[in-house]
Amino acid sequence: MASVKYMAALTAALREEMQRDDRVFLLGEDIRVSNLGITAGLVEEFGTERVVDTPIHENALVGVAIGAALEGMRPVVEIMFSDFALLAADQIVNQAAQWRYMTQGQYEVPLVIRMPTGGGFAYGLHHSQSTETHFFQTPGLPIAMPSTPADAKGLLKTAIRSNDPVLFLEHMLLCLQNAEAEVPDGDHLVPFGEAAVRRQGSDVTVVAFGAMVNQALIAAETLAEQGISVEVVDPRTIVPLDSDAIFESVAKTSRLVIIEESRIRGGLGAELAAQAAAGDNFFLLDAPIERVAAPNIPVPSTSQLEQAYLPDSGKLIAAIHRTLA
Amino acid sequence: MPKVGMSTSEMVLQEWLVTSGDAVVEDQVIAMVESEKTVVEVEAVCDGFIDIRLDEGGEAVPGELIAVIAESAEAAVAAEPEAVSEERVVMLDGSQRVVATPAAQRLAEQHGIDLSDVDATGPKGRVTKADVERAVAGAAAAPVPDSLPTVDEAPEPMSRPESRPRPERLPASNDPGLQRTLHREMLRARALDEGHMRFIRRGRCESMSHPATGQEAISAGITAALEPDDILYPTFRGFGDYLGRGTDMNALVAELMGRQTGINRGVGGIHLGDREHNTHGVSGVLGANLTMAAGSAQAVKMRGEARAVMVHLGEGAFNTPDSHATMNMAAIWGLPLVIIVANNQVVEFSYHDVHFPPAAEGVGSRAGYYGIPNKCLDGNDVELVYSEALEAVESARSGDGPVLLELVTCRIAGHFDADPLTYIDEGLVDEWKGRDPISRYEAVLIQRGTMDAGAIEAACAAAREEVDTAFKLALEAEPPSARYLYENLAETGVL
Repeated sequence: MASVKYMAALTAALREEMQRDDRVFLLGEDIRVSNLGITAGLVEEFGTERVVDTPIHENALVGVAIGAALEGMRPVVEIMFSDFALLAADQIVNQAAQWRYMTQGQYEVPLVIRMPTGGGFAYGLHHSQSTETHFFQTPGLPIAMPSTPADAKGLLKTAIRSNDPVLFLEHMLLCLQNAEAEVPDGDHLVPFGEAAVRRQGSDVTVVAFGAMVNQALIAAETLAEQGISVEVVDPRTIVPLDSDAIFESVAKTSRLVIIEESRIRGGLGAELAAQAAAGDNFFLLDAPIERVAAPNIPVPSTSQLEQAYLPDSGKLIAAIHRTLA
Repeated sequence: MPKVGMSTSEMVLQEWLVTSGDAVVEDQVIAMVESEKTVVEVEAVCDGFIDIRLDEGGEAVPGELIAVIAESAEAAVAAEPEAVSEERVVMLDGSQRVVATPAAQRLAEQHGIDLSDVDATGPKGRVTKADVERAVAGAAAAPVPDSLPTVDEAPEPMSRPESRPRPERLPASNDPGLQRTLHREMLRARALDEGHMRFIRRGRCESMSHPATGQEAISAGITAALEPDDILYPTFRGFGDYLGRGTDMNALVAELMGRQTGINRGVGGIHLGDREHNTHGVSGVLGANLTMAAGSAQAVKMRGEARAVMVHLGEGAFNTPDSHATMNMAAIWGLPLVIIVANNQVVEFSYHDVHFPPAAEGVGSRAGYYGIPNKCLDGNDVELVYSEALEAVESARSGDGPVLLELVTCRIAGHFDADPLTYIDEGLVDEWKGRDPISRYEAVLIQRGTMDAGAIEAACAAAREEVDTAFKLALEAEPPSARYLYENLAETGVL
């Protein structure tokens, strides 16, 4: 077990999978130089044939990756910011995710679309959004949101070996943080659709996605000093979503709070709140559900305003207090 | 009343061409009906004697009963149709008919349930909403995949090129076998478009037709230039690309008819892929195939294979921004890509002046900016299309980078089955009818002595018969199972 930073874990996953399988190659805008540094150094090891810089045109580069995948390659695309994935919405939603269904299994589309995502740097309206909820309704499209270095590596390796197209969201705060965490040695793979309980608790269940897992852990630590026991569940992938693990936790705590960085309207919290209100889950709750998410406004550019926009541990603590009131 | 395009509004019965008591034969044109957009012919769906139930000038919605055809004139008169204002006859032929309430029909349509599969409990064998609900519940109980991802555990080494000897090819003008193939493939493509339209107008086929009438030389010529291991991203217009590559006519027609024997099990419809024949499929989003073709060409190049990738699309789809991105990347990366632009002078429902600036010369000349060799050719000369496509494919395979061919033709049919083609000058259509690629080539074949008139007529009859057989088989085949709804979505359980 080694201590590794989040971004280094991503780079290691790419390197290991490229070494393991010569069908794996990378393509994206400026990935040789690498904007954040995730793909830096790989061109020296694998050459320009397998680390392909592309012109600026997201829809086209995802289309190219699909065509290569249909021919048996395993392309890994980088979209520089997840905001720009909306430019590739046709190829992602209409083509990659549906080609297998359309041809009834004649074709598979083994393709990974990695996208740095999220706010926190005052990069402004079009370099800060969390766009996973735009794609959440797409049939046939697994979506991963790793929150730890171990999951960053393990989920990315699983994504590359999957025969499906996968959206892979790498939060920029996590990429650029200096914190290290343990990553298992060897061929570390994390399965999709299996939530991780990051902290055990008995009073309230907090479901946290991506970078919000850290905020949930901060809140849980703070509340522990006040005698409140918070359980933190990290679904790790939102498609498939491990509802069983989430409601197993809710069955124990009887209280549910969801924190996500995407916008509140029709968000991941909305989906979980709907699931909580349906069927047997309806009888699990002792208090109203709380959702902590970004408001339905664009991401402001100034950091003071951006901090007001972003969900965080303080807003989560207030929400947890409301459920316990 | 037949279904015309996407319209569900009332249509006027303009004229009956037969009278009650007449004997009619299958496919005989028996009436003319008028929708908001067009006038279409109504054909008899089976042999028998007719009893007319809707007078000239009367109105009916698609699916509504307008006549009964039965084994005898007496039986036709005696048949008791449901009240037309409340019930719609969903399917009517000599032997079988399913009657359903509107609520049942709507529910069945929403859930993709074939009414002929539903056990009817209503009066007079009518399918009720409750019957459909029971069928839906049965379908929903179909097993869904579990949620664990399956992953590629052991990678196979990437395939590496084999030296693959290409067969020697004679010039088309010296190869009678090839000439007969080019002729036959044009006939098959046209016969399939015609058969497809016929079944749509009868209300027996739900898929849309985008006929390639007048453009058949392109699909026949370009597919004959490809080897089986070359890759084609076909056009959505017509099905000649698939037929020319070897896609089975029966499986193709079954797909158009929405049957489980179809190439995509009746799920993909006109959005077809055929992996076995390296015909990677067409999206409903025009132009989306361009970058995919570039990606397949990139895969071919990375593996060092001597294969060409061809993408065939119209000049309207080529007007989407992805065409520039594709030419740009193909030129930067030196990809083995052949871009076929069929310039048929119309784009969906409008003429060129809506889409292209008046000063522009051609469409494919845009490739010049990217340094991509390009030619503008007569797309109705099947041997020219073949020989130029062959040269382009060989150039791409040999590593000389992308090539573009603009093939000028004219679509002498509507954009889709119910489009009367009102937006193009009649004189232009007539002029291009005179350049019909099939009759034009037949004159050449006769002059050369490759085929005589009898052989040509036999080839036409064979193509029509092949199509008729395919539609008959499709009619007898099962519709897709409700369990297909949840299959082949993804390996990772994503429901």
